[in-house]
Amino acid sequence: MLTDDVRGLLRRTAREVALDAADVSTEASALAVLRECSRRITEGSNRVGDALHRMYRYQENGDYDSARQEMRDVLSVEVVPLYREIAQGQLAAMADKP
Amino acid sequence: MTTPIATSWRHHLAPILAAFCLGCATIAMDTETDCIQRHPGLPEACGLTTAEAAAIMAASVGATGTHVGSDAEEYDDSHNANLPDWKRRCIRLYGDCQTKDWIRKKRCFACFEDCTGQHEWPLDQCRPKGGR
Repeated sequence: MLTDDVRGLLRRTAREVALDAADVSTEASALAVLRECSRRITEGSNRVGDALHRMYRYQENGDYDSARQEMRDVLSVEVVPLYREIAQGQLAAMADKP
Repeated sequence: MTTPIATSWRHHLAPILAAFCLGCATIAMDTETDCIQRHPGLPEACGLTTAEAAAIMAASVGATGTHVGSDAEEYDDSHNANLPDWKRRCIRLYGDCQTKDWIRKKRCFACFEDCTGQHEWPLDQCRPKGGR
């Protein structure tokens, strides 16, 4: 059942994954928003997680250019703010590397 | 800009999923490590092969500090090539959580269990430090 509380929770989640102006007025539209939120979270988590792991391997081998590129590749497609912050943080952490 | 993530997204999505009666099995809280420990020697009871169960429990050993070997070698997961991609990702990221500069290291194993249950690493709970 689509209560006001559920709508509020869904709107908040949607904002956290950069899905602004989410239409949760009907069950059908709310379901579509839910699916899109879930897709962004899962795809973003997998993208960032895989990129982080490859980045660490490049860093261990001293290849900071490739390590940085992993994070730049994430930033070129990722829209979820948390995941973008993770990638930006890792780039900042490598600022003083060769 | 700091993103205030006080709770896991899963905690947001779970009641919404329940409200829609969607995939209630996906929010089941049992984890594969719990199941393996409840059925020693019977990985098939958890829907796993012997190799899958061994790989999952090997990753969980790190939480007790019994891992040996260098940080870089320990999480070379080529020996897990027969596992599904999501499982390999959970194991790899558990290793990174433990060995790299991540927040809340005490939660690494809990995040690993969350990952094996939800097939997705909870980056909102366990993630690298820095950048803010």
